[in-house]
Amino acid sequence: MQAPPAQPSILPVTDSATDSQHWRACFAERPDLLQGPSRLVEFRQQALDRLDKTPFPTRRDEDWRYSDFTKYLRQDFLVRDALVPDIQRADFEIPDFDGFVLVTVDGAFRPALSDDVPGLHISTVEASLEQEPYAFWLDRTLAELHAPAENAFVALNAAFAKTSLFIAAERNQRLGKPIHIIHLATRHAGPQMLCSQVFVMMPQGAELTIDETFHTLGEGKLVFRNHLVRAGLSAQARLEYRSIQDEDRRDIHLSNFAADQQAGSKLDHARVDLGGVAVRNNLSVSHKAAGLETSLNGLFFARDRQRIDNQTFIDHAFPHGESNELYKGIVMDRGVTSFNGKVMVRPDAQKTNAFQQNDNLVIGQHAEANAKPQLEIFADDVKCSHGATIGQLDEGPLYYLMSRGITRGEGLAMLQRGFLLEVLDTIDSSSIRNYVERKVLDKFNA
Amino acid sequence: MLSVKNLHARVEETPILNGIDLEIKPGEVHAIMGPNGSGKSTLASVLAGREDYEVTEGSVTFGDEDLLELDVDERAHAGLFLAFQYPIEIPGVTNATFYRSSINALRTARGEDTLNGAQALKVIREKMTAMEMDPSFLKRSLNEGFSGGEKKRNEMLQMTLLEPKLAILDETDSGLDIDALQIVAKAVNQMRSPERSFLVVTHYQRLLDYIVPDFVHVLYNGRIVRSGDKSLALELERRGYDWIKAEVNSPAV
Repeated sequence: MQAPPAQPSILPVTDSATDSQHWRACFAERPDLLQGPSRLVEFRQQALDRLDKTPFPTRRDEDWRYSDFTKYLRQDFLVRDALVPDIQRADFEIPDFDGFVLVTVDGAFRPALSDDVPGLHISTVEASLEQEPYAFWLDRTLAELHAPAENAFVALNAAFAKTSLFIAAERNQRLGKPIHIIHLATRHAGPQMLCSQVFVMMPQGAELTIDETFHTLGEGKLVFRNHLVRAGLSAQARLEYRSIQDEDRRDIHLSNFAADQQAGSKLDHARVDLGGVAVRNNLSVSHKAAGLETSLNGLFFARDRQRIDNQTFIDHAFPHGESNELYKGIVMDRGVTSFNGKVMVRPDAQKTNAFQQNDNLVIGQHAEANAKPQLEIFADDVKCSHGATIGQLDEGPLYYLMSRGITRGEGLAMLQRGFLLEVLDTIDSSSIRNYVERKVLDKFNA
Repeated sequence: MLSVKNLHARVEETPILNGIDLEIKPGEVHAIMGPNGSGKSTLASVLAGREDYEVTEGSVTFGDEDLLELDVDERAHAGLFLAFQYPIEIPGVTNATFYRSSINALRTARGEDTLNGAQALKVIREKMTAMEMDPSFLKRSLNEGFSGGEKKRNEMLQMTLLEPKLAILDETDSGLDIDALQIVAKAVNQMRSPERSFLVVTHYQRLLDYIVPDFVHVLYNGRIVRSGDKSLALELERRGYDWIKAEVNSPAV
């Protein structure tokens, strides 16, 4: 298909990754990024221009108070074109999963490794950008990546992502089986900035369930995964989207999910964060009509020196919207976590029901959890609540377990697992629940 | 089996038990009755090892062990069981996991082999059927969403699964209707044996129609002020607690 990637030159060691010139230099070594639909090339160059003007967020930015990613940027990140090593797909599949499997390698969709999905349009941004009925939606969605509110990581992602997965359903289509996207990243001799994207277009009445997992291959240095997902739900569409991340402990995971919803649509989003040395997830949902439902659930578990930060934003701009958030996390050893749940209820959004709950279990003297519910309510006929708890396990349940002969150690373990697994109950798939439960147990026993 | 001597206990600075003496032999069923605030539940909690209560004087011997020296789980290993008045809900821990862990914890303490998942499930299902409990409970979180009656039945199920030497029922009858009461009583009566004892803490005499006690003790102001057989319970039912209080407060000859 294309010429083998050129050997990149070694760049001098500086704080360069926070400097957009570093990324322009990386871009210059990738002539393939100037190929493809002209609109896409334009978008990439727009992204680079934005990068010149948009500094990477630091602790001083309110939204990034708890996640200082600038220190992770002080490396000579390279942005390689995708290699395709020998891949055994079965190694990454979910046991007892009854559905379709798609594979991306270093951000690029690989049809040869993926299942055929009858009736669904599964393709790449390049192939679909000039094809109706997808062009209009894709063009607008890509343009929105350059909005002033988007941070520098989004700009970086927009500049370098290539051959990204694009999934589009048809009106009133119900696939009936879920889709599992396996995102593979390859390691290289130097730290890799991997920019990947998934676009999901849901027309009227369409229903889909998508699970995505992340894995790395090969020997080499760390991977900084800069992952972006954009979903559009038309009227009455229903999307279940679940991101399950158990990255290697030296890798970085930064994700940016945004969805907008039209009338009568339902979005069920779930996040599981177990791996990575530093994790940051931005999740934003925008209500574009009345009578919608949004459900955001998250489970995170940080230990050793992991940092896991979640920020969500729900924009209730129309009446009769429902949103429900439940994020639960455990932090132990020297881990640090944060949850910042923003909800905006605009003046016209009467009869909104918005509920948010964040529970954090802190184990040990050196672990730290931060909770920041942030509700801005401008309508007066609404039901909104938020709750955040940070603390240790109640003695009551432990006493009850011990009174039945269960030892203190085993009782604590049961309660800690139970604390997290309550979020799993919101996941409507036994194969996914078992998969996640297994990983959580392994992490407790590590 | 259980020997309580001059037991004094307090919560924070408030004394609640002011010298309890009680002897329970194997095979006996003892009932503890008394007005509210007399210390009935405190006695049950102290025996079970709840840390909120501080023992200030006295001793408790269970078999040949000093009960007060044992931690909560060790008391269960020694054969003690407390059916709680307000069983707690524990989201995220299923009933199935809880029963299995508990059964195996006790088997390990007794030096027996543990049961694997399938074996444990078989035993549990049998007992659930006997208790007329819906097997779908197994998948649910412990006590979550259970009505008061269902929680009490869950306590009884645990009792039948764990086969204790001494079972303490802490106001198990409170909030139950007649049907639920009979199921509780059936569970207890089926487990009566010469090697097993029961301590039934209750406010009302009604339960004792179904679980007929060998001994009835009346607790008032943290002391056992009167002991008798089951006819004492009937007399309390007829006359209420006031006559006991009157007798205690103005010592008759």
